[in-house]
Amino acid sequence: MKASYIIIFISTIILMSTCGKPVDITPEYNLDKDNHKIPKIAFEGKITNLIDSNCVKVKRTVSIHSNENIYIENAEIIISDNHGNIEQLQYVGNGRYQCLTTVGISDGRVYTMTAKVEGKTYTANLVMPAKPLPIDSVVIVPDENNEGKFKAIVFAMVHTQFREYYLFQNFVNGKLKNEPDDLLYASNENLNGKIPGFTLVEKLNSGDKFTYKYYTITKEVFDYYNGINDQVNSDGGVFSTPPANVVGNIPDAAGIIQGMYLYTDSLIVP
Amino acid sequence: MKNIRIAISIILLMLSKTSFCDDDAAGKVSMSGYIKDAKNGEDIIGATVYVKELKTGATTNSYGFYSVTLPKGTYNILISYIGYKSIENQIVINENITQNFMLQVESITTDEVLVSAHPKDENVNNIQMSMNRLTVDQMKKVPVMFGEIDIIKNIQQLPGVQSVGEGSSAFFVRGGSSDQNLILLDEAPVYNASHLAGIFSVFNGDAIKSADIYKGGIPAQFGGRLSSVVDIRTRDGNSQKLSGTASIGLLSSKATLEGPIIRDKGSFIVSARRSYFDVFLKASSDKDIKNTTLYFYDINAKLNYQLGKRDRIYLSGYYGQDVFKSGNFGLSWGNATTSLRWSHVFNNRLFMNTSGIFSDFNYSLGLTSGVQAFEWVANIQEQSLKQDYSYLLNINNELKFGVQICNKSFQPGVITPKSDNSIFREVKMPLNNALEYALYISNEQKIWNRLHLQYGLRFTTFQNNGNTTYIYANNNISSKNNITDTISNNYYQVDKTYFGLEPRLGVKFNVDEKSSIKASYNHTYQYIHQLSNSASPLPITMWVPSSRYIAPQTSDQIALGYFHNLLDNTIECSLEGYYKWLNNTIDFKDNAQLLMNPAIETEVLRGTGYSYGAELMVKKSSGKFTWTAAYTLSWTKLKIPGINNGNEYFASWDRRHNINASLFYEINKRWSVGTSWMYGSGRPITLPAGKYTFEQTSVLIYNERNGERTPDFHRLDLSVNLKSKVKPNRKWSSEWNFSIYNVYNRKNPFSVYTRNEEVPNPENSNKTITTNNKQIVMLWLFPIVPSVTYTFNF
Repeated sequence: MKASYIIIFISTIILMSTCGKPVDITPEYNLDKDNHKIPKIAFEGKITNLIDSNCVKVKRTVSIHSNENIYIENAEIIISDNHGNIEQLQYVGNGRYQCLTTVGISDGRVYTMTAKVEGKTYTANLVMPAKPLPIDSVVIVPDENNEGKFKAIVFAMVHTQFREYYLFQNFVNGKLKNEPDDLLYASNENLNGKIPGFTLVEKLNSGDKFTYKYYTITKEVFDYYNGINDQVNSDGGVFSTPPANVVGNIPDAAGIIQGMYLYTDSLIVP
Repeated sequence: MKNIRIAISIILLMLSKTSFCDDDAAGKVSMSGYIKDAKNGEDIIGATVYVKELKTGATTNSYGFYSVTLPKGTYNILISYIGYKSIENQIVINENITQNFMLQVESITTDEVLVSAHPKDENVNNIQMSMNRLTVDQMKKVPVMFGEIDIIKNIQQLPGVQSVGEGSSAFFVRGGSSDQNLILLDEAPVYNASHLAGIFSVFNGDAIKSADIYKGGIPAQFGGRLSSVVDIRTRDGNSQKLSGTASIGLLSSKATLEGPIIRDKGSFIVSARRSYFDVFLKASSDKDIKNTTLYFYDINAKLNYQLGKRDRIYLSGYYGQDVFKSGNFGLSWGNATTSLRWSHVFNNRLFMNTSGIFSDFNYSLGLTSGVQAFEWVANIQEQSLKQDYSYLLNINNELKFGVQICNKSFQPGVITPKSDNSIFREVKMPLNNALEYALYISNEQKIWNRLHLQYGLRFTTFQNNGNTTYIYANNNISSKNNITDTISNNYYQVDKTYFGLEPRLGVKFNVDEKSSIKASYNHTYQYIHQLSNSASPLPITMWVPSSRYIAPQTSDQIALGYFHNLLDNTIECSLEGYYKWLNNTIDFKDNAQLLMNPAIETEVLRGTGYSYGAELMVKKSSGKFTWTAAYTLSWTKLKIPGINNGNEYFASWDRRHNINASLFYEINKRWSVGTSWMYGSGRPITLPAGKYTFEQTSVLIYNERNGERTPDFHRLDLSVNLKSKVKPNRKWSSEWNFSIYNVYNRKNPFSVYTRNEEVPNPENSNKTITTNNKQIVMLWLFPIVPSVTYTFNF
């Protein structure tokens, strides 16, 4: 979040001095330029304490100008842990492979995903993070910055004795809030342990259904979201860091298989 | 080490060959003194004292002092400097004498032929190569944005210097990164030279006398950075009468007051600036911009006093701050420098300067209310003491030697919660300290009339003390997970010591009276490093010292040049080629976390780099019509394991071609016009090769660092100056400056990047919807910008 403050400053400078809007330019490259150098397959997977959330999505990477999703439908995906549990995931459509029985979720357990995709085997290892302190409450209150609207704020305690990492995903009427400013992830590195009313979502309307998912995540996953944050908030200017790949935990493939401890709940805005 | 031993042997051999005879016994005597501006008593730096009969001479040092040794006799002495009328005196020198000279400013009505614009053949005869001197008078001739004279923007237009584009004060000299430039303001280092993230520099043109920029062949008295030295000297103030200047510009105004403390004995100058962007922001229709505060201010002050014929003291200081507030968020940063200097003339041959120097760069940012309220402050501070001596050994040798000790402290960050219900705790990053010592000696030796040498050695020691050091398993610093122990040293405990020996060499051979060939070599060490992984450092970029894990950066540079003057030295030409090697050069891991990271070594990558190129410069700086044309052709590549799969890649500041041209014409006593045009080929950028969707967000895939380039950059600027009429009894004068920046409204690239496509909102035509589709766009900064500045002098 600190980096975003700097972006506010730089954006203001730019906004003040920029005339006109950005224009399209024609890139002199495409996916095929050095196709062998970039991964062709991307994974998006979660192993959590809630069985319904456990799935792996597999798709192809595409050119940046392509708007299509190319799903992989015939992969073989197995999740196993270091306690001898093993399960082959079932394909349920749109590149999604669902975990149908829990493989046994607990803190510190080590999981392995093995995926066979088009003759190539991909492997990812991950560790389930520690269970977080439960959230005290999430409440809906009037949004003082937006008249007639509401906001959701969270009250909680977090561990301070050891390092933890957190992720919030917020849904309004079933739709994930995924604008760059909506990305909420943090570590407890500089926190005092109390979260006395942190804003999750603003501009809620009366009658909206608000759902939050609160995860503890591993450092690996925290770094992954940090990489996404760097990408979506970069303006490519001279003050931006060099654009870089977001590194996951699957060699030769894009994406990440996340181990996450999850709390979730829904509220209706009064 | 073998090469360094050879270099030491050569230097010792050269010094032993030097004639240490008693010049008085051999009938030699010295003439020394100061050269000053007759109008205001300012010392003139770099003025030439030329002995016609011997075809030899000297130039004034940074304090306006010169010294020449001659056989007893009668000589015609020519004193000259750019923009001043030359004077020629016949002087009988039968004993050591002190002789001061006062130069009159060149009048534009004077016949061009009679005016000597500058040291006539300095371009050819001065042994120093790869150096440019900028004076405020020169800078006034170049059109400037918002009418604000800016040293850094002028430096960015010199051959061999690259910029990454508009809106940045960062500059890159012969392939070096922006933190490899040592910027000195009256000898005090300035760690962040930008106001408003680089739109302006911190140097107020009204307070500046001159700036010397060394791009290669760096003299031994300078050290600490690899690629360049920018030696900026402020004005001493008018020692003849009380005077002042006030300027009102489009975005900033400034005022200067100067005058004698005691006439001809001492003077003072105070100059202050403030911008007023924030006033214009109030007029914005955008609520967020309307409530934004954004301004900078700075103040320069200097006192100097002559204690006697041989002693003079100077006290100069700078303080500047940038302030930005937007809603709950605030950010500020600034520099403070102080220099206390004492110059002493022991005799006609020995000159000494002793300086006590302080420099501080600090920043703070934070939120003022709410559960996230916090303040984060950080700074780097330096105190140093140095002595520099200049000794005219004999007619053929001038020795320079000195010593410096410097204490640096680095506070990377302190976080303080700023509300009762803040989620943050107080966090104080470990303080880091360093001590840096330097000894140097150099000699400029005239082997024979045509062949001159300049050779020297700089010996440096760097100690990382009083720090917190992590111990890593198997010395593997790739991850914080490898930390096994922590060592906390007090101030007197040294964790790591580095030594550096830096040979410097310059050679000049006069082909004939109008042309010469020069060559130079320098080896340099840099012990502190800027934590920046963007092309241009952010205003809040911090520095770290070398440590047991971060070795000093080093560089070797060779340069060869041909210098030729035409038309009675009115046109100067130079062609220089260089090759530079960079070792232990620093870059950072992808997505590195550089802020509030106590184990910064886990994010650092080290490698090598090289740069080579050619620089051509032609200029006419005398008379009513002056012009400059410069072209640079260069390549800069880095190779750092961990980046770009370990393959070489172009540095972000690599530009293949740069052209800068400027013209200035003084139409008459009142009117003058100037124009400049610049061109730079595209700089490297990184663009994605593909993407995938993760949690409904497009994640980009890159396959090559800096594999693409921005479109080319070019721009034309114009300015017109109108001076008030000169009336005999009028005690004031004024000047209007009208300028147009980016005359043909070129959309020069600030950035080329990938962003989510925005499409019209079908429910509200005034708004757009951000989609998840990606598009590559170019952003540009300044369109055509007219500006006007009014300056009032009394």
